[in-house]
Amino acid sequence: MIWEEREQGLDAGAKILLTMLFALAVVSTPPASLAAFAAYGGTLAWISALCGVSFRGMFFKAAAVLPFSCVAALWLPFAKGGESIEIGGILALSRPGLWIFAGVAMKSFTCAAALSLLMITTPFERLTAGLYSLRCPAIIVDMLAMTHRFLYLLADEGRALLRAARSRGYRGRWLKDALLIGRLIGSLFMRSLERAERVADAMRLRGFEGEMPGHSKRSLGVLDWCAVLAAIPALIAVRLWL
Amino acid sequence: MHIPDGFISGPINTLGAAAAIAAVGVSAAKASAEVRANPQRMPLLATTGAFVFAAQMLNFPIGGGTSGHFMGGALVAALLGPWSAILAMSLVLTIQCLGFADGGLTALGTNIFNMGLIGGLGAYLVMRVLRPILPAGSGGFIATAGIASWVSIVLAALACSLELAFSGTSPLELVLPAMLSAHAVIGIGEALITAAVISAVLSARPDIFAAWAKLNGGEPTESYRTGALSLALGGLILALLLGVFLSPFASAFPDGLEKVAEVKGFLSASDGSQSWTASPLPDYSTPGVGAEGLSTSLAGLIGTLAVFLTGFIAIKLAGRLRRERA
Repeated sequence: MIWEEREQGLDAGAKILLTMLFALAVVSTPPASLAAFAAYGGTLAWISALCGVSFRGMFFKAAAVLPFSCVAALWLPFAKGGESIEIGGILALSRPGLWIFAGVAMKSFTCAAALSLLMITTPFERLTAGLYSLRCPAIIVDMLAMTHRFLYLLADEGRALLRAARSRGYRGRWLKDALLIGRLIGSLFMRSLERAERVADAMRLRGFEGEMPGHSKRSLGVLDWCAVLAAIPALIAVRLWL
Repeated sequence: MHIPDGFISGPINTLGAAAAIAAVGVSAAKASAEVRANPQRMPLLATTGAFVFAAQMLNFPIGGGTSGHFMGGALVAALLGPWSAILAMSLVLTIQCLGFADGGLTALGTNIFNMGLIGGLGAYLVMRVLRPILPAGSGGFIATAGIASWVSIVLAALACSLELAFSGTSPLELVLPAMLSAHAVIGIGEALITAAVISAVLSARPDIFAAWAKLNGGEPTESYRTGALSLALGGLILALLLGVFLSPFASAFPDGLEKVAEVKGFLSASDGSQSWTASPLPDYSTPGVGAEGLSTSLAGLIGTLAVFLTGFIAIKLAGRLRRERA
Protein backbone atom coordinates (compact mmCIF):
# COMPACT_ATOMS: atom_id res chain seq x y z
CA MET A 1 0.00 0.00 0.00
CA ILE A 2 1.55 3.27 -1.10
CA TRP A 3 0.16 5.17 1.91
CA GLU A 4 2.31 3.11 4.27
CA GLU A 5 5.66 4.39 5.48
CA ARG A 6 8.01 2.71 3.02
CA GLU A 7 10.84 3.77 0.77
CA GLN A 8 8.80 3.15 -2.37
CA GLY A 9 5.60 4.64 -0.88
CA LEU A 10 4.26 8.17 -1.15
CA ASP A 11 6.38 11.13 -0.10
CA ALA A 12 5.13 12.63 3.19
CA GLY A 13 4.61 15.93 1.34
CA ALA A 14 2.13 14.23 -0.99
CA LYS A 15 0.38 12.75 2.03
CA ILE A 16 0.03 16.19 3.63
CA LEU A 17 -1.30 17.55 0.32
CA LEU A 18 -3.78 14.68 -0.01
CA THR A 19 -4.98 15.12 3.58
CA MET A 20 -5.43 18.84 2.92
CA LEU A 21 -7.44 18.17 -0.27
CA PHE A 22 -9.54 15.59 1.59
CA ALA A 23 -10.20 18.05 4.44
CA LEU A 24 -11.16 20.79 1.96
CA ALA A 25 -13.63 18.44 0.26
CA VAL A 26 -15.12 17.37 3.61
CA VAL A 27 -15.41 20.90 4.93
CA SER A 28 -17.17 22.14 1.79
CA THR A 29 -19.72 19.30 1.72
CA PRO A 30 -23.23 20.31 2.77
CA PRO A 31 -24.32 18.33 5.87
CA ALA A 32 -27.35 16.88 4.08
CA SER A 33 -25.35 14.81 1.58
CA LEU A 34 -24.93 11.81 3.84
CA ALA A 35 -23.77 9.61 0.94
CA ALA A 36 -20.70 11.82 0.50
CA PHE A 37 -19.86 11.50 4.19
CA ALA A 38 -20.27 7.75 3.94
CA ALA A 39 -17.82 7.80 1.03
CA TYR A 40 -15.31 9.86 3.05
CA GLY A 41 -15.61 7.49 6.02
CA GLY A 42 -15.31 4.49 3.72
CA THR A 43 -12.13 5.88 2.13
CA LEU A 44 -10.54 6.41 5.54
CA ALA A 45 -11.56 2.94 6.73
CA TRP A 46 -10.21 1.40 3.50
CA ILE A 47 -6.82 3.15 3.75
CA SER A 48 -6.48 2.36 7.46
CA ALA A 49 -7.32 -1.30 6.80
CA LEU A 50 -4.76 -1.49 4.00
CA CYS A 51 -2.10 0.09 6.23
CA GLY A 52 -2.94 -2.22 9.11
CA VAL A 53 -3.91 0.74 11.32
CA SER A 54 -6.45 -0.25 13.92
CA PHE A 55 -9.71 1.49 13.11
CA ARG A 56 -10.49 1.76 16.80
CA GLY A 57 -7.27 3.64 17.52
CA MET A 58 -8.03 6.13 14.75
CA PHE A 59 -11.61 6.47 15.98
CA PHE A 60 -10.61 7.21 19.56
CA LYS A 61 -7.90 9.68 18.52
CA ALA A 62 -10.43 11.49 16.33
CA ALA A 63 -13.10 11.43 19.03
CA ALA A 64 -10.96 13.92 20.94
CA VAL A 65 -12.51 16.75 18.88
CA LEU A 66 -16.06 15.87 19.89
CA PRO A 67 -16.00 17.74 23.23
CA PHE A 68 -15.14 20.96 21.40
CA SER A 69 -17.95 20.36 18.89
CA CYS A 70 -20.37 19.80 21.72
CA VAL A 71 -19.38 22.89 23.66
CA ALA A 72 -19.43 25.07 20.56
CA ALA A 73 -22.48 23.72 18.80
CA LEU A 74 -24.64 21.52 21.03
CA TRP A 75 -26.85 24.40 22.11
CA LEU A 76 -27.60 25.35 18.50
CA PRO A 77 -30.59 22.99 18.15
CA PHE A 78 -32.13 24.71 21.17
CA ALA A 79 -31.27 28.28 20.41
CA LYS A 80 -31.37 28.72 16.65
CA GLY A 81 -34.70 29.92 15.29
CA GLY A 82 -36.56 28.73 12.25
CA GLU A 83 -38.75 25.66 11.79
CA SER A 84 -38.87 23.49 14.90
CA ILE A 85 -39.31 19.79 15.50
CA GLU A 86 -41.28 18.63 18.52
CA ILE A 87 -39.94 15.65 20.40
CA GLY A 88 -42.44 13.96 22.68
CA GLY A 89 -44.33 17.21 23.01
CA ILE A 90 -41.86 18.61 25.55
CA LEU A 91 -38.72 19.51 23.63
CA ALA A 92 -38.79 21.81 20.61
CA LEU A 93 -35.60 21.59 18.54
CA SER A 94 -34.84 23.94 15.67
CA ARG A 95 -34.35 22.13 12.37
CA PRO A 96 -31.66 24.48 10.93
CA GLY A 97 -29.84 24.36 14.27
CA LEU A 98 -29.86 20.57 14.26
CA TRP A 99 -28.47 20.47 10.73
CA ILE A 100 -25.67 22.89 11.58
CA PHE A 101 -24.77 20.84 14.65
CA ALA A 102 -24.81 17.56 12.73
CA GLY A 103 -22.72 19.06 9.92
CA VAL A 104 -20.13 20.55 12.26
CA ALA A 105 -19.82 17.33 14.27
CA MET A 106 -19.49 15.12 11.18
CA LYS A 107 -17.01 17.41 9.42
CA SER A 108 -14.75 17.96 12.42
CA PHE A 109 -14.79 14.25 13.24
CA THR A 110 -14.04 13.13 9.67
CA CYS A 111 -11.18 15.61 9.29
CA ALA A 112 -9.74 14.68 12.67
CA ALA A 113 -9.85 11.02 11.63
CA ALA A 114 -7.97 11.89 8.42
CA LEU A 115 -5.36 13.83 10.41
CA SER A 116 -5.00 10.93 12.86
CA LEU A 117 -4.46 8.53 9.97
CA LEU A 118 -1.73 10.83 8.60
CA MET A 119 -0.21 11.08 12.07
CA ILE A 120 -0.30 7.34 12.81
CA THR A 121 1.20 6.31 9.47
CA THR A 122 3.89 9.01 9.25
CA PRO A 123 6.56 9.82 11.85
CA PHE A 124 6.91 13.55 12.50
CA GLU A 125 10.43 13.65 11.02
CA ARG A 126 8.97 12.40 7.75
CA LEU A 127 6.27 15.06 7.90
CA THR A 128 8.85 17.84 8.24
CA ALA A 129 10.85 16.31 5.40
CA GLY A 130 7.61 16.29 3.42
CA LEU A 131 7.22 20.01 4.04
CA TYR A 132 10.57 20.48 2.25
CA SER A 133 9.15 18.66 -0.78
CA LEU A 134 6.22 21.07 -0.66
CA ARG A 135 8.71 23.96 -0.91
CA CYS A 136 8.13 25.36 2.58
CA PRO A 137 10.87 27.87 3.52
CA ALA A 138 13.82 26.01 5.06
CA ILE A 139 13.93 28.15 8.19
CA ILE A 140 10.34 27.27 9.11
CA VAL A 141 10.83 23.54 8.49
CA ASP A 142 14.12 23.48 10.46
CA MET A 143 12.54 25.29 13.38
CA LEU A 144 9.52 22.99 13.24
CA ALA A 145 11.76 19.92 13.40
CA MET A 146 13.83 21.42 16.20
CA THR A 147 10.79 22.51 18.22
CA HIS A 148 9.36 19.02 17.89
CA ARG A 149 12.65 17.55 19.12
CA PHE A 150 12.55 19.60 22.32
CA LEU A 151 8.82 19.13 22.81
CA TYR A 152 8.93 15.89 24.74
CA LEU A 153 11.97 16.93 26.77
CA LEU A 154 10.28 20.10 27.98
CA ALA A 155 6.93 18.40 28.46
CA ASP A 156 8.71 15.89 30.70
CA GLU A 157 10.39 18.72 32.61
CA GLY A 158 6.99 20.35 33.02
CA ARG A 159 5.48 17.14 34.33
CA ALA A 160 8.43 16.68 36.72
CA LEU A 161 7.95 20.21 38.07
CA LEU A 162 4.26 19.60 38.56
CA ARG A 163 4.91 16.28 40.28
CA ALA A 164 7.46 17.86 42.59
CA ALA A 165 5.04 20.64 43.49
CA ARG A 166 2.20 18.17 44.08
CA SER A 167 4.37 16.05 46.35
CA ARG A 168 4.79 19.15 48.51
CA GLY A 169 1.06 19.31 48.93
CA TYR A 170 0.22 21.82 46.21
CA ARG A 171 -2.96 21.45 44.18
CA GLY A 172 -3.15 23.96 41.40
CA ARG A 173 -6.46 25.68 40.95
CA TRP A 174 -6.43 27.95 37.91
CA LEU A 175 -7.45 31.29 39.42
CA LYS A 176 -6.69 30.71 43.09
CA ASP A 177 -3.13 29.54 42.52
CA ALA A 178 -2.38 31.45 39.32
CA LEU A 179 0.70 33.14 40.80
CA LEU A 180 2.10 29.78 41.97
CA ILE A 181 1.44 28.26 38.54
CA GLY A 182 3.20 31.30 37.11
CA ARG A 183 6.30 30.56 39.18
CA LEU A 184 6.17 26.95 38.03
CA ILE A 185 5.95 28.02 34.38
CA GLY A 186 8.68 30.61 35.03
CA SER A 187 11.09 27.93 36.17
CA LEU A 188 10.07 25.83 33.17
CA PHE A 189 11.06 28.79 30.98
CA MET A 190 14.41 29.06 32.77
CA ARG A 191 15.08 25.40 32.10
CA SER A 192 14.16 25.77 28.43
CA LEU A 193 16.48 28.79 28.27
CA GLU A 194 19.40 26.88 29.76
CA ARG A 195 18.79 24.04 27.35
CA ALA A 196 18.70 26.49 24.43
CA GLU A 197 22.07 27.87 25.48
CA ARG A 198 23.64 24.42 25.83
CA VAL A 199 22.26 23.37 22.44
CA ALA A 200 23.50 26.60 20.87
CA ASP A 201 27.02 25.91 22.16
CA ALA A 202 26.91 22.34 20.90
CA MET A 203 25.65 23.47 17.50
CA ARG A 204 28.38 26.08 17.20
CA LEU A 205 31.01 23.50 18.13
CA ARG A 206 29.75 21.31 15.30
CA GLY A 207 30.10 24.18 12.86
CA PHE A 208 26.57 25.60 12.65
CA GLU A 209 26.58 29.01 11.02
CA GLY A 210 22.93 29.78 10.52
CA GLU A 211 21.87 27.08 8.09
CA MET A 212 21.05 23.44 8.68
CA PRO A 213 23.07 21.14 6.45
CA GLY A 214 21.96 17.96 4.85
CA HIS A 215 18.53 18.34 3.36
CA SER A 216 18.93 17.50 -0.27
CA LYS A 217 16.71 19.15 -2.79
CA ARG A 218 13.66 17.02 -2.09
CA SER A 219 10.67 17.18 -4.36
CA LEU A 220 7.55 15.22 -5.18
CA GLY A 221 8.09 12.23 -7.49
CA VAL A 222 5.98 10.88 -10.37
CA LEU A 223 4.04 8.57 -8.04
CA ASP A 224 3.22 11.49 -5.73
CA TRP A 225 1.95 13.68 -8.55
CA CYS A 226 -0.11 10.79 -9.94
CA ALA A 227 -1.74 10.23 -6.54
CA VAL A 228 -2.54 13.93 -6.08
CA LEU A 229 -3.83 14.32 -9.65
CA ALA A 230 -5.99 11.21 -9.28
CA ALA A 231 -7.38 12.34 -5.93
CA ILE A 232 -8.61 15.72 -7.20
CA PRO A 233 -11.20 14.42 -9.74
CA ALA A 234 -12.24 11.66 -7.34
CA LEU A 235 -12.92 14.16 -4.54
CA ILE A 236 -14.72 16.52 -6.93
CA ALA A 237 -16.87 13.63 -8.15
CA VAL A 238 -17.82 12.59 -4.60
CA ARG A 239 -18.47 16.20 -3.67
CA LEU A 240 -20.71 16.93 -6.69
CA TRP A 241 -22.61 13.70 -7.32
CA LEU A 242 -23.07 12.04 -3.96
CA MET B 1 -9.55 27.82 21.46
CA HIS B 2 -8.14 25.41 18.85
CA ILE B 3 -10.88 25.44 16.20
CA PRO B 4 -11.33 22.05 14.45
CA ASP B 5 -12.23 21.59 10.77
CA GLY B 6 -15.78 22.28 9.69
CA PHE B 7 -16.58 25.17 12.03
CA ILE B 8 -15.35 28.04 9.92
CA SER B 9 -16.60 28.77 6.40
CA GLY B 10 -14.33 28.74 3.36
CA PRO B 11 -14.06 32.51 2.82
CA ILE B 12 -13.19 33.16 6.49
CA ASN B 13 -10.61 30.37 6.49
CA THR B 14 -9.11 31.76 3.29
CA LEU B 15 -8.80 35.19 4.89
CA GLY B 16 -7.30 33.67 8.02
CA ALA B 17 -4.83 31.60 6.01
CA ALA B 18 -3.81 34.65 3.96
CA ALA B 19 -3.18 36.69 7.11
CA ALA B 20 -1.31 33.78 8.71
CA ILE B 21 0.89 33.19 5.64
CA ALA B 22 1.77 36.89 5.48
CA ALA B 23 2.55 37.07 9.21
CA VAL B 24 4.55 33.83 9.29
CA GLY B 25 6.39 34.91 6.12
CA VAL B 26 7.44 38.22 7.65
CA SER B 27 8.42 36.66 10.98
CA ALA B 28 10.32 33.84 9.23
CA ALA B 29 12.24 36.41 7.20
CA LYS B 30 13.06 38.32 10.40
CA ALA B 31 14.06 35.11 12.19
CA SER B 32 16.19 34.02 9.26
CA ALA B 33 18.09 37.32 9.32
CA GLU B 34 18.47 37.09 13.10
CA VAL B 35 19.77 33.53 12.92
CA ARG B 36 22.30 34.45 10.26
CA ALA B 37 23.52 37.36 12.42
CA ASN B 38 23.43 35.34 15.63
CA PRO B 39 23.16 31.53 15.23
CA GLN B 40 22.32 31.15 18.94
CA ARG B 41 18.92 32.58 18.20
CA MET B 42 17.70 29.43 16.48
CA PRO B 43 17.75 27.02 19.43
CA LEU B 44 16.31 29.82 21.58
CA LEU B 45 13.29 30.20 19.25
CA ALA B 46 12.85 26.44 18.95
CA THR B 47 12.99 25.77 22.69
CA THR B 48 10.64 28.69 23.29
CA GLY B 49 8.13 27.03 20.96
CA ALA B 50 8.60 23.76 22.84
CA PHE B 51 8.26 25.67 26.13
CA VAL B 52 4.91 27.15 25.05
CA PHE B 53 3.75 23.65 24.08
CA ALA B 54 4.84 22.19 27.42
CA ALA B 55 3.25 25.06 29.35
CA GLN B 56 0.00 24.55 27.41
CA MET B 57 0.07 20.86 28.34
CA LEU B 58 -0.06 21.63 32.05
CA ASN B 59 -3.79 21.65 32.66
CA PHE B 60 -5.09 23.25 35.79
CA PRO B 61 -8.56 22.63 37.19
CA ILE B 62 -10.82 25.66 36.89
CA GLY B 63 -13.57 24.10 38.96
CA GLY B 64 -16.73 22.31 37.95
CA GLY B 65 -14.77 19.48 36.36
CA THR B 66 -13.25 21.58 33.58
CA SER B 67 -9.65 22.64 33.28
CA GLY B 68 -7.92 25.55 31.65
CA HIS B 69 -4.45 26.06 30.35
CA PHE B 70 -2.02 28.82 29.61
CA MET B 71 -1.87 30.23 26.04
CA GLY B 72 1.43 32.09 26.17
CA GLY B 73 1.35 34.43 23.15
CA ALA B 74 1.63 37.58 25.24
CA LEU B 75 4.36 36.10 27.43
CA VAL B 76 6.56 35.25 24.43
CA ALA B 77 5.87 38.68 22.93
CA ALA B 78 7.08 40.28 26.17
CA LEU B 79 10.14 38.02 26.42
CA LEU B 80 11.36 37.85 22.83
CA GLY B 81 9.46 40.44 20.82
CA PRO B 82 6.39 40.26 18.54
CA TRP B 83 7.87 38.47 15.52
CA SER B 84 9.36 35.69 17.60
CA ALA B 85 6.00 35.36 19.34
CA ILE B 86 4.17 34.91 16.03
CA LEU B 87 6.76 32.38 14.90
CA ALA B 88 6.77 30.40 18.15
CA MET B 89 2.97 30.28 18.33
CA SER B 90 2.71 29.23 14.66
CA LEU B 91 5.24 26.44 15.23
CA VAL B 92 3.30 25.20 18.25
CA LEU B 93 -0.05 25.35 16.43
CA THR B 94 1.34 23.55 13.36
CA ILE B 95 2.81 20.78 15.50
CA GLN B 96 -0.41 20.46 17.47
CA CYS B 97 -2.34 20.18 14.20
CA LEU B 98 -0.04 17.79 12.29
CA GLY B 99 1.31 15.79 15.20
CA PHE B 100 -1.61 15.68 17.65
CA ALA B 101 -4.71 16.40 15.48
CA ASP B 102 -5.46 19.33 17.81
CA GLY B 103 -7.06 22.06 15.68
CA GLY B 104 -8.10 21.49 12.07
CA LEU B 105 -5.87 21.51 9.02
CA THR B 106 -8.17 23.83 7.05
CA ALA B 107 -8.58 26.03 10.14
CA LEU B 108 -4.81 26.21 10.83
CA GLY B 109 -4.53 29.68 9.27
CA THR B 110 -7.46 30.95 11.33
CA ASN B 111 -5.97 29.45 14.49
CA ILE B 112 -2.61 31.09 13.76
CA PHE B 113 -4.44 34.37 13.18
CA ASN B 114 -6.28 34.11 16.51
CA MET B 115 -3.52 32.87 18.77
CA GLY B 116 -0.33 33.93 16.97
CA LEU B 117 -1.22 37.24 15.39
CA ILE B 118 -3.74 38.53 17.92
CA GLY B 119 -2.20 36.66 20.87
CA GLY B 120 1.38 37.70 20.03
CA LEU B 121 1.46 40.84 17.88
CA GLY B 122 -1.76 42.17 19.41
CA ALA B 123 -0.38 41.78 22.93
CA TYR B 124 2.84 43.50 21.86
CA LEU B 125 0.94 46.49 20.43
CA VAL B 126 -1.04 46.81 23.65
CA MET B 127 2.24 46.76 25.58
CA ARG B 128 3.70 49.44 23.30
CA VAL B 129 0.74 51.66 24.06
CA LEU B 130 0.63 50.95 27.80
CA ARG B 131 4.37 51.22 28.50
CA PRO B 132 4.60 55.02 28.40
CA ILE B 133 1.42 55.38 30.43
CA LEU B 134 2.26 53.00 33.29
CA PRO B 135 5.00 53.90 35.77
CA ALA B 136 8.65 53.04 35.19
CA GLY B 137 10.35 50.22 37.04
CA SER B 138 9.89 46.49 36.92
CA GLY B 139 6.46 46.71 38.58
CA GLY B 140 5.18 48.85 35.73
CA PHE B 141 6.57 46.46 33.13
CA ILE B 142 5.04 43.43 34.86
CA ALA B 143 1.67 45.19 35.04
CA THR B 144 1.98 46.09 31.35
CA ALA B 145 2.59 42.48 30.37
CA GLY B 146 -0.24 41.25 32.59
CA ILE B 147 -2.80 43.67 31.18
CA ALA B 148 -1.63 42.96 27.64
CA SER B 149 -2.11 39.23 28.11
CA TRP B 150 -5.64 39.72 29.46
CA VAL B 151 -6.47 41.93 26.47
CA SER B 152 -4.92 39.42 24.05
CA ILE B 153 -7.02 36.54 25.42
CA VAL B 154 -10.21 38.57 25.22
CA LEU B 155 -9.36 39.81 21.71
CA ALA B 156 -8.60 36.26 20.55
CA ALA B 157 -11.95 35.13 21.98
CA LEU B 158 -13.63 38.05 20.22
CA ALA B 159 -11.99 37.08 16.92
CA CYS B 160 -12.97 33.45 17.45
CA SER B 161 -16.61 34.28 18.09
CA LEU B 162 -16.78 36.72 15.16
CA GLU B 163 -15.36 33.99 12.89
CA LEU B 164 -17.89 31.45 14.16
CA ALA B 165 -20.70 33.96 13.67
CA PHE B 166 -19.65 35.08 10.17
CA SER B 167 -19.35 31.41 9.19
CA GLY B 168 -22.98 30.93 10.16
CA THR B 169 -22.05 28.27 12.72
CA SER B 170 -23.51 30.06 15.71
CA PRO B 171 -25.48 33.27 16.08
CA LEU B 172 -23.37 36.19 17.29
CA GLU B 173 -25.77 37.27 20.02
CA LEU B 174 -25.25 33.86 21.67
CA VAL B 175 -21.61 33.04 21.01
CA LEU B 176 -20.19 36.51 21.70
CA PRO B 177 -21.36 36.96 25.32
CA ALA B 178 -20.58 33.30 26.12
CA MET B 179 -17.04 33.42 24.72
CA LEU B 180 -16.23 36.87 26.08
CA SER B 181 -17.48 36.24 29.61
CA ALA B 182 -15.65 32.90 29.82
CA HIS B 183 -12.42 34.34 28.47
CA ALA B 184 -12.61 37.48 30.59
CA VAL B 185 -12.16 35.09 33.53
CA ILE B 186 -9.63 32.80 31.81
CA GLY B 187 -7.72 35.96 30.88
CA ILE B 188 -7.26 36.83 34.57
CA GLY B 189 -5.45 33.53 35.08
CA GLU B 190 -3.36 34.18 31.98
CA ALA B 191 -2.49 37.69 33.19
CA LEU B 192 -1.44 36.51 36.66
CA ILE B 193 0.69 33.72 35.19
CA THR B 194 2.33 36.04 32.65
CA ALA B 195 3.08 38.54 35.41
CA ALA B 196 4.59 35.87 37.66
CA VAL B 197 6.77 34.48 34.86
CA ILE B 198 7.97 37.95 33.84
CA SER B 199 8.84 38.86 37.41
CA ALA B 200 10.76 35.59 37.84
CA VAL B 201 12.68 36.09 34.57
CA LEU B 202 13.30 39.78 35.35
CA SER B 203 14.94 38.89 38.65
CA ALA B 204 16.95 35.91 37.37
CA ARG B 205 17.82 36.76 33.77
CA PRO B 206 17.18 40.40 32.86
CA ASP B 207 19.35 40.00 29.75
CA ILE B 208 16.52 38.02 28.09
CA PHE B 209 14.63 41.22 27.47
CA ALA B 210 17.20 42.35 24.91
CA ALA B 211 14.72 41.82 22.08
CA TRP B 212 12.20 44.08 23.77
CA ALA B 213 14.85 46.72 24.49
CA LYS B 214 16.15 46.62 20.92
CA LEU B 215 12.70 46.95 19.39
CA ASN B 216 11.62 49.79 21.61
CA GLY B 217 14.82 51.74 22.08
CA GLY B 218 14.93 51.40 25.85
CA GLU B 219 15.01 48.95 28.71
CA PRO B 220 11.64 47.32 29.43
CA THR B 221 11.67 48.71 32.95
CA GLU B 222 12.10 52.27 31.72
CA SER B 223 9.05 54.21 30.76
CA TYR B 224 9.74 56.27 27.71
CA ARG B 225 8.01 58.44 25.16
CA THR B 226 6.58 56.63 22.19
CA GLY B 227 6.00 58.12 18.81
CA ALA B 228 2.70 59.59 17.74
CA LEU B 229 2.13 56.56 15.51
CA SER B 230 1.93 54.04 18.33
CA LEU B 231 -0.36 56.33 20.31
CA ALA B 232 -2.60 56.67 17.26
CA LEU B 233 -2.52 52.89 16.83
CA GLY B 234 -3.44 52.40 20.47
CA GLY B 235 -6.30 54.85 20.16
CA LEU B 236 -7.53 53.01 17.09
CA ILE B 237 -7.41 49.64 18.85
CA LEU B 238 -9.27 51.05 21.85
CA ALA B 239 -11.87 52.75 19.65
CA LEU B 240 -12.38 49.59 17.58
CA LEU B 241 -12.81 47.58 20.75
CA LEU B 242 -15.40 49.99 22.08
CA GLY B 243 -17.14 50.18 18.72
CA VAL B 244 -17.36 46.45 18.14
CA PHE B 245 -17.86 45.32 21.74
CA LEU B 246 -20.12 47.90 23.22
CA SER B 247 -22.24 49.05 20.29
CA PRO B 248 -24.63 46.07 20.44
CA PHE B 249 -25.09 46.68 24.15
CA ALA B 250 -25.59 50.41 23.79
CA SER B 251 -28.90 51.81 24.91
CA ALA B 252 -31.77 51.03 22.61
CA PHE B 253 -33.59 54.12 23.86
CA PRO B 254 -33.65 57.16 21.62
CA ASP B 255 -30.92 59.69 22.34
CA GLY B 256 -31.72 63.15 23.63
CA LEU B 257 -32.42 64.78 20.30
CA GLU B 258 -34.54 61.91 19.06
CA LYS B 259 -36.55 61.94 22.29
CA VAL B 260 -37.22 65.64 21.96
CA ALA B 261 -38.12 65.20 18.31
CA GLU B 262 -40.54 62.47 19.26
CA VAL B 263 -42.17 64.55 21.94
CA LYS B 264 -42.37 67.64 19.83
CA GLY B 265 -43.66 65.61 16.92
CA PHE B 266 -41.04 66.50 14.36
CA LEU B 267 -39.48 63.06 14.27
CA SER B 268 -41.96 62.02 11.62
CA ALA B 269 -40.85 64.96 9.53
CA SER B 270 -37.41 63.43 9.28
CA ASP B 271 -38.70 59.92 8.68
CA GLY B 272 -39.22 58.16 5.40
CA SER B 273 -37.01 58.70 2.42
CA GLN B 274 -35.03 61.38 4.22
CA SER B 275 -31.32 61.73 4.66
CA TRP B 276 -30.68 59.02 7.27
CA THR B 277 -32.31 56.17 5.42
CA ALA B 278 -30.19 57.09 2.42
CA SER B 279 -27.01 57.01 4.51
CA PRO B 280 -24.70 54.05 3.96
CA LEU B 281 -25.28 52.67 7.48
CA PRO B 282 -28.91 53.58 8.30
CA ASP B 283 -29.64 53.74 12.05
CA TYR B 284 -26.30 52.13 13.00
CA SER B 285 -26.92 48.89 11.17
CA THR B 286 -25.24 47.39 8.15
CA PRO B 287 -27.61 46.74 5.23
CA GLY B 288 -27.76 43.11 4.15
CA VAL B 289 -26.61 41.74 7.51
CA GLY B 290 -29.45 39.94 9.29
CA ALA B 291 -28.54 39.47 12.96
CA GLU B 292 -29.13 42.72 14.80
CA GLY B 293 -26.17 42.55 17.19
CA LEU B 294 -23.80 41.59 14.38
CA SER B 295 -25.16 44.32 12.15
CA THR B 296 -24.65 46.94 14.87
CA SER B 297 -21.14 45.68 15.61
CA LEU B 298 -20.22 45.86 11.94
CA ALA B 299 -21.63 49.38 11.73
CA GLY B 300 -19.56 50.28 14.80
CA LEU B 301 -16.43 48.81 13.16
CA ILE B 302 -16.96 50.56 9.84
CA GLY B 303 -17.90 53.83 11.54
CA THR B 304 -14.83 53.79 13.78
CA LEU B 305 -12.53 53.05 10.86
CA ALA B 306 -14.16 55.82 8.81
CA VAL B 307 -13.75 58.34 11.63
CA PHE B 308 -10.14 57.27 12.17
CA LEU B 309 -9.30 57.56 8.47
CA THR B 310 -11.00 60.96 8.23
CA GLY B 311 -9.09 62.22 11.25
CA PHE B 312 -5.83 60.77 9.93
CA ILE B 313 -6.26 62.43 6.53
CA ALA B 314 -7.29 65.72 8.15
CA ILE B 315 -4.16 65.71 10.35
CA LYS B 316 -1.94 64.84 7.38
CA LEU B 317 -3.48 67.68 5.35
CA ALA B 318 -3.11 70.10 8.26
CA GLY B 319 0.54 69.12 8.61
CA ARG B 320 1.17 69.65 4.92
CA LEU B 321 -0.57 73.07 4.99
CA ARG B 322 1.55 74.15 7.96
CA ARG B 323 4.73 73.00 6.24
CA GLU B 324 3.80 74.84 3.06
CA ARG B 325 3.07 78.02 4.96
CA ALA B 326 6.35 77.83 6.85
